[in-house]
Amino acid sequence: MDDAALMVRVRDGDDVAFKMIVDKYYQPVYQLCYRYLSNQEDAEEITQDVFIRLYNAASSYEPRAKLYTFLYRIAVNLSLNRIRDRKLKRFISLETLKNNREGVMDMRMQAGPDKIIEQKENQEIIKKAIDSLPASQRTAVILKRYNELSYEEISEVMECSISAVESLLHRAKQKLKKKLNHLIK
Amino acid sequence: MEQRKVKCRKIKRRLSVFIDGEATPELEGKIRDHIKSCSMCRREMEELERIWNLIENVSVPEPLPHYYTRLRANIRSNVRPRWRFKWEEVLVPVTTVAVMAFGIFLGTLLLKNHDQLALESLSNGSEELTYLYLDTFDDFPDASLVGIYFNNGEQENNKEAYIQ
Repeated sequence: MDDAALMVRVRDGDDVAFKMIVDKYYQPVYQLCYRYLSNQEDAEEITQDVFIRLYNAASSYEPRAKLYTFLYRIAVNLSLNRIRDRKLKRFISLETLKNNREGVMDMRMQAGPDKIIEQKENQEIIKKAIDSLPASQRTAVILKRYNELSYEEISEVMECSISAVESLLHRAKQKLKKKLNHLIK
Repeated sequence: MEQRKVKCRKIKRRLSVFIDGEATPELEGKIRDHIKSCSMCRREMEELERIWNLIENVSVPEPLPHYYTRLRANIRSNVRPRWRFKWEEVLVPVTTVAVMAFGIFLGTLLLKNHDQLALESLSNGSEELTYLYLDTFDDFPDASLVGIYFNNGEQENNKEAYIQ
Protein backbone atom coordinates (compact mmCIF):
# COMPACT_ATOMS: atom_id res chain seq x y z
CA MET A 1 0.00 0.00 0.00
CA ASP A 2 1.44 3.40 -0.88
CA ASP A 3 1.90 6.26 1.57
CA ALA A 4 -1.09 8.27 0.35
CA ALA A 5 -3.43 5.32 0.85
CA LEU A 6 -1.98 4.67 4.30
CA MET A 7 -2.47 8.30 5.30
CA VAL A 8 -6.08 8.22 4.18
CA ARG A 9 -6.58 5.25 6.50
CA VAL A 10 -4.82 7.12 9.31
CA ARG A 11 -7.16 10.04 8.66
CA ASP A 12 -10.06 7.64 9.15
CA GLY A 13 -8.64 6.54 12.50
CA ASP A 14 -6.74 3.40 11.49
CA ASP A 15 -3.93 2.93 14.04
CA VAL A 16 -2.45 -0.05 12.20
CA ALA A 17 -1.87 2.17 9.17
CA PHE A 18 -0.22 4.78 11.39
CA LYS A 19 2.11 2.12 12.85
CA MET A 20 3.08 1.05 9.33
CA ILE A 21 4.05 4.62 8.46
CA VAL A 22 6.01 5.02 11.70
CA ASP A 23 7.85 1.73 11.15
CA LYS A 24 8.75 2.80 7.63
CA TYR A 25 9.98 6.33 8.35
CA TYR A 26 11.05 6.43 11.98
CA GLN A 27 14.66 5.44 11.35
CA PRO A 28 15.31 7.76 8.37
CA VAL A 29 13.75 10.70 10.23
CA TYR A 30 15.71 9.84 13.37
CA GLN A 31 18.98 9.63 11.44
CA LEU A 32 18.26 12.94 9.75
CA CYS A 33 17.70 14.57 13.14
CA TYR A 34 20.77 12.91 14.64
CA ARG A 35 22.98 14.21 11.88
CA TYR A 36 21.87 17.71 12.76
CA LEU A 37 21.95 17.40 16.51
CA SER A 38 24.67 14.80 17.22
CA ASN A 39 22.77 13.93 20.36
CA GLN A 40 20.67 10.81 20.77
CA GLU A 41 18.23 12.25 23.30
CA ASP A 42 17.49 15.34 21.25
CA ALA A 43 17.20 13.35 18.03
CA GLU A 44 14.75 11.01 19.75
CA GLU A 45 12.67 13.89 21.08
CA ILE A 46 12.50 15.68 17.74
CA THR A 47 11.63 12.46 15.91
CA GLN A 48 8.79 11.78 18.31
CA ASP A 49 7.60 15.36 17.79
CA VAL A 50 7.61 14.89 14.00
CA PHE A 51 5.29 11.89 14.21
CA ILE A 52 3.04 13.51 16.81
CA ARG A 53 2.61 16.41 14.38
CA LEU A 54 1.92 13.97 11.57
CA TYR A 55 -0.74 12.29 13.69
CA ASN A 56 -2.31 15.66 14.55
CA ALA A 57 -2.30 16.73 10.90
CA ALA A 58 -3.78 13.45 9.68
CA SER A 59 -7.38 14.62 10.08
CA SER A 60 -6.81 17.31 7.45
CA TYR A 61 -4.44 15.31 5.23
CA GLU A 62 -4.64 15.83 1.49
CA PRO A 63 -2.26 13.79 -0.71
CA ARG A 64 -0.60 16.77 -2.39
CA ALA A 65 3.06 16.25 -1.55
CA LYS A 66 4.97 13.05 -0.95
CA LEU A 67 4.73 11.97 2.68
CA TYR A 68 8.45 11.71 3.26
CA THR A 69 9.12 15.26 1.97
CA PHE A 70 6.51 16.43 4.49
CA LEU A 71 8.20 14.44 7.28
CA TYR A 72 11.70 15.56 6.37
CA ARG A 73 10.64 19.19 6.13
CA ILE A 74 9.23 19.11 9.66
CA ALA A 75 12.31 17.24 10.91
CA VAL A 76 14.69 19.79 9.34
CA ASN A 77 12.77 22.77 10.74
CA LEU A 78 12.48 21.31 14.24
CA SER A 79 16.16 20.32 14.26
CA LEU A 80 17.24 23.79 13.17
CA ASN A 81 15.01 25.32 15.87
CA ARG A 82 16.63 23.07 18.45
CA ILE A 83 20.10 24.10 17.32
CA ARG A 84 19.10 27.77 17.59
CA ASP A 85 17.78 27.14 21.12
CA ARG A 86 21.00 25.46 22.06
CA LYS A 87 23.07 28.36 20.82
CA LEU A 88 20.98 30.69 22.90
CA LYS A 89 21.53 28.58 25.97
CA ARG A 90 25.24 28.16 25.09
CA PHE A 91 24.92 24.53 25.78
CA ILE A 92 25.92 22.51 22.76
CA SER A 93 29.63 23.21 22.45
CA LEU A 94 30.45 22.28 26.02
CA GLU A 95 28.27 19.17 26.05
CA THR A 96 29.35 17.89 22.62
CA LEU A 97 32.98 18.67 23.32
CA LYS A 98 32.72 16.83 26.62
CA ASN A 99 31.07 13.82 24.94
CA ASN A 100 33.59 13.84 22.10
CA ARG A 101 36.51 14.11 24.45
CA GLU A 102 35.19 11.32 26.63
CA GLY A 103 34.66 9.11 23.61
CA VAL A 104 38.16 9.64 22.30
CA MET A 105 39.78 9.30 25.75
CA ASP A 106 37.94 6.01 26.37
CA MET A 107 39.20 4.67 23.09
CA ARG A 108 42.77 5.65 23.90
CA MET A 109 42.69 4.02 27.28
CA GLN A 110 41.45 0.75 25.85
CA ALA A 111 43.89 -1.64 24.33
CA GLY A 112 42.12 -1.47 20.93
CA PRO A 113 43.71 -1.36 17.51
CA ASP A 114 45.00 2.03 16.40
CA LYS A 115 42.90 1.83 13.24
CA ILE A 116 39.65 1.90 15.21
CA ILE A 117 40.82 4.93 17.18
CA GLU A 118 41.88 6.65 13.97
CA GLN A 119 38.51 5.92 12.38
CA LYS A 120 36.69 7.31 15.40
CA GLU A 121 38.77 10.47 15.31
CA ASN A 122 38.21 10.85 11.58
CA GLN A 123 34.49 10.50 12.13
CA GLU A 124 34.59 13.34 14.63
CA ILE A 125 36.55 15.49 12.18
CA ILE A 126 34.05 14.75 9.41
CA LYS A 127 31.11 15.46 11.72
CA LYS A 128 32.61 18.78 12.75
CA ALA A 129 33.27 19.70 9.12
CA ILE A 130 29.64 19.01 8.19
CA ASP A 131 28.39 20.85 11.29
CA SER A 132 30.46 23.89 10.31
CA LEU A 133 28.59 24.28 7.02
CA PRO A 134 25.87 26.94 6.82
CA ALA A 135 22.46 25.50 7.70
CA SER A 136 21.13 25.36 4.14
CA GLN A 137 24.26 23.67 2.76
CA ARG A 138 24.27 21.20 5.65
CA THR A 139 20.62 20.37 5.02
CA ALA A 140 21.30 19.73 1.33
CA VAL A 141 24.32 17.52 2.12
CA ILE A 142 22.42 15.46 4.71
CA LEU A 143 19.40 14.98 2.48
CA LYS A 144 21.53 14.05 -0.54
CA ARG A 145 24.28 11.97 1.02
CA TYR A 146 22.45 10.21 3.83
CA ASN A 147 18.78 10.28 2.92
CA GLU A 148 19.63 9.79 -0.78
CA LEU A 149 17.00 12.18 -2.06
CA SER A 150 17.12 13.48 -5.61
CA TYR A 151 17.68 17.17 -6.34
CA GLU A 152 13.99 17.52 -7.06
CA GLU A 153 13.00 15.91 -3.75
CA ILE A 154 15.50 18.06 -1.86
CA SER A 155 14.03 21.16 -3.51
CA GLU A 156 10.56 20.09 -2.25
CA VAL A 157 11.82 19.58 1.31
CA MET A 158 13.78 22.83 1.35
CA GLU A 159 11.15 24.72 -0.64
CA CYS A 160 13.66 26.12 -3.10
CA SER A 161 14.52 25.64 -6.78
CA ILE A 162 16.54 22.73 -8.18
CA SER A 163 19.27 25.12 -9.33
CA ALA A 164 19.49 26.43 -5.73
CA VAL A 165 20.02 22.85 -4.55
CA GLU A 166 22.78 22.40 -7.17
CA SER A 167 24.48 25.55 -6.01
CA LEU A 168 24.22 24.60 -2.32
CA LEU A 169 25.74 21.17 -2.92
CA HIS A 170 28.50 22.56 -5.14
CA ARG A 171 29.55 25.09 -2.48
CA ALA A 172 29.20 22.54 0.32
CA LYS A 173 31.48 20.09 -1.49
CA GLN A 174 34.10 22.81 -2.05
CA LYS A 175 34.05 23.71 1.66
CA LEU A 176 34.24 20.08 2.72
CA LYS A 177 37.17 19.53 0.33
CA LYS A 178 39.09 22.37 2.01
CA LYS A 179 38.44 21.00 5.51
CA LEU A 180 38.89 17.29 4.79
CA ASN A 181 41.51 17.19 2.03
CA HIS A 182 44.18 16.08 4.50
CA LEU A 183 42.16 12.95 5.26
CA ILE A 184 42.15 11.74 1.67
CA LYS A 185 45.84 12.41 0.93
CA MET B 1 44.59 29.04 -23.35
CA GLU B 2 42.04 31.52 -22.05
CA GLN B 3 39.26 29.53 -23.71
CA ARG B 4 40.51 26.36 -22.03
CA LYS B 5 40.50 28.10 -18.63
CA VAL B 6 36.90 29.25 -19.17
CA LYS B 7 35.91 25.74 -20.20
CA CYS B 8 37.63 24.25 -17.13
CA ARG B 9 35.83 26.75 -14.89
CA LYS B 10 32.46 25.79 -16.38
CA ILE B 11 33.18 22.08 -16.06
CA LYS B 12 34.35 22.40 -12.43
CA ARG B 13 31.10 24.16 -11.55
CA ARG B 14 29.10 21.19 -12.85
CA LEU B 15 31.25 18.41 -11.37
CA SER B 16 29.03 18.27 -8.27
CA VAL B 17 25.96 17.56 -10.40
CA PHE B 18 27.92 14.90 -12.30
CA ILE B 19 29.13 13.18 -9.11
CA ASP B 20 25.58 13.19 -7.71
CA GLY B 21 24.30 11.43 -10.82
CA GLU B 22 21.97 14.32 -11.61
CA ALA B 23 23.57 15.48 -14.85
CA THR B 24 21.62 15.28 -18.09
CA PRO B 25 23.01 12.81 -20.65
CA GLU B 26 24.32 15.76 -22.71
CA LEU B 27 26.17 17.31 -19.75
CA GLU B 28 27.52 13.94 -18.67
CA GLY B 29 28.95 13.38 -22.16
CA LYS B 30 30.61 16.84 -22.18
CA ILE B 31 32.20 16.28 -18.74
CA ARG B 32 33.46 12.79 -19.58
CA ASP B 33 35.00 14.05 -22.84
CA HIS B 34 36.68 16.98 -21.08
CA ILE B 35 38.21 15.05 -18.17
CA LYS B 36 39.72 12.54 -20.62
CA SER B 37 42.05 15.28 -21.84
CA CYS B 38 42.23 17.62 -18.80
CA SER B 39 44.25 16.24 -15.86
CA MET B 40 43.40 19.19 -13.58
CA CYS B 41 39.65 18.72 -13.92
CA ARG B 42 40.05 14.97 -13.62
CA ARG B 43 42.00 15.41 -10.37
CA GLU B 44 39.37 17.85 -9.08
CA MET B 45 36.61 15.34 -9.84
CA GLU B 46 38.49 12.49 -8.13
CA GLU B 47 39.06 14.59 -5.01
CA LEU B 48 35.40 15.57 -4.81
CA GLU B 49 34.34 11.94 -5.24
CA ARG B 50 36.66 10.82 -2.46
CA ILE B 51 35.41 13.51 -0.10
CA TRP B 52 31.82 12.59 -0.94
CA ASN B 53 32.53 8.91 -0.25
CA LEU B 54 34.47 9.78 2.92
CA ILE B 55 31.57 11.59 4.55
CA GLU B 56 29.35 8.56 4.08
CA ASN B 57 31.34 6.82 6.81
CA VAL B 58 29.79 8.70 9.71
CA SER B 59 27.86 6.24 11.81
CA VAL B 60 24.59 7.03 13.49
CA PRO B 61 23.32 5.14 16.53
CA GLU B 62 20.10 3.20 16.25
CA PRO B 63 16.94 4.76 17.70
CA LEU B 64 16.04 3.62 21.19
CA PRO B 65 13.89 0.46 21.21
CA HIS B 66 10.09 0.47 21.66
CA TYR B 67 9.83 3.83 19.93
CA TYR B 68 6.25 3.14 18.84
CA THR B 69 5.07 2.46 22.41
CA ARG B 70 6.64 5.73 23.54
CA LEU B 71 5.10 7.55 20.61
CA ARG B 72 1.60 6.30 21.45
CA ALA B 73 2.08 7.38 25.06
CA ASN B 74 3.25 10.82 23.92
CA ILE B 75 0.33 11.16 21.56
CA ARG B 76 -2.11 10.24 24.34
CA SER B 77 -0.62 12.83 26.67
CA ASN B 78 -0.17 15.60 24.08
CA VAL B 79 -3.18 15.26 21.88
CA ARG B 80 -6.74 16.24 22.68
CA PRO B 81 -9.30 14.03 20.98
CA ARG B 82 -10.01 15.67 17.68
CA TRP B 83 -13.75 15.98 18.29
CA ARG B 84 -13.48 17.81 21.62
CA PHE B 85 -13.88 21.58 21.68
CA LYS B 86 -10.88 23.30 23.25
CA TRP B 87 -12.66 25.21 26.00
CA GLU B 88 -9.62 26.63 27.71
CA GLU B 89 -8.39 28.19 24.47
CA VAL B 90 -11.69 30.05 24.04
CA LEU B 91 -12.65 30.86 27.62
CA VAL B 92 -9.83 33.26 28.49
CA PRO B 93 -10.12 35.61 25.51
CA VAL B 94 -13.94 35.57 25.64
CA THR B 95 -13.90 36.39 29.36
CA THR B 96 -11.41 39.21 28.81
CA VAL B 97 -13.51 40.77 26.07
CA ALA B 98 -16.67 40.41 28.15
CA VAL B 99 -15.07 42.11 31.17
CA MET B 100 -13.77 44.96 29.01
CA ALA B 101 -17.16 45.43 27.35
CA PHE B 102 -18.89 45.46 30.71
CA GLY B 103 -16.40 47.99 32.02
CA ILE B 104 -16.95 50.28 29.04
CA PHE B 105 -20.72 49.93 29.39
CA LEU B 106 -20.62 50.68 33.12
CA GLY B 107 -18.35 53.65 32.61
CA THR B 108 -20.62 55.07 29.91
CA LEU B 109 -23.65 54.59 32.13
CA LEU B 110 -22.02 56.32 35.11
CA LEU B 111 -20.88 59.25 32.99
CA LYS B 112 -24.34 59.63 31.54
CA ASN B 113 -25.88 59.65 35.01
CA HIS B 114 -23.32 62.18 36.15
CA ASP B 115 -24.15 64.51 33.26
CA GLN B 116 -27.83 64.05 33.93
CA LEU B 117 -27.34 65.08 37.56
CA ALA B 118 -25.28 68.07 36.51
CA LEU B 119 -27.98 69.27 34.13
CA GLU B 120 -30.62 68.91 36.81
CA SER B 121 -28.47 70.80 39.29
CA LEU B 122 -27.95 73.62 36.86
CA SER B 123 -31.64 73.99 36.22
CA ASN B 124 -32.13 74.07 40.03
CA GLY B 125 -29.54 76.89 40.28
CA SER B 126 -27.00 74.86 42.18
CA GLU B 127 -23.77 76.82 42.40
CA GLU B 128 -21.65 73.76 42.95
CA LEU B 129 -21.93 72.55 39.39
CA THR B 130 -21.78 75.79 37.45
CA TYR B 131 -18.05 75.48 37.09
CA LEU B 132 -18.71 72.65 34.64
CA TYR B 133 -20.54 74.86 32.20
CA LEU B 134 -20.03 77.70 29.88
CA ASP B 135 -18.90 80.27 32.40
CA THR B 136 -15.95 77.94 32.97
CA PHE B 137 -14.75 78.85 29.54
CA ASP B 138 -15.09 82.64 29.95
CA ASP B 139 -11.74 84.30 29.44
CA PHE B 140 -11.56 85.74 32.92
CA PRO B 141 -14.48 84.80 35.16
CA ASP B 142 -15.12 87.64 37.58
CA ALA B 143 -14.28 85.67 40.68
CA SER B 144 -10.96 84.49 39.31
CA LEU B 145 -7.66 86.14 40.25
CA VAL B 146 -7.12 87.36 36.72
CA GLY B 147 -10.63 88.71 36.63
CA ILE B 148 -10.09 90.58 39.88
CA TYR B 149 -6.77 91.88 38.60
CA PHE B 150 -8.21 93.18 35.40
CA ASN B 151 -11.32 94.49 37.05
CA ASN B 152 -9.16 96.42 39.54
CA GLY B 153 -7.00 97.58 36.68
CA GLU B 154 -10.05 98.98 34.91
CA GLN B 155 -11.17 100.74 38.03
CA GLU B 156 -7.72 102.35 38.40
CA ASN B 157 -7.80 103.48 34.77
CA ASN B 158 -11.24 104.96 35.28
CA LYS B 159 -10.00 106.77 38.41
CA GLU B 160 -7.07 108.33 36.54
CA ALA B 161 -9.32 109.44 33.72
CA TYR B 162 -11.66 110.96 36.27
CA ILE B 163 -8.83 112.80 38.04
CA GLN B 164 -7.57 114.10 34.71
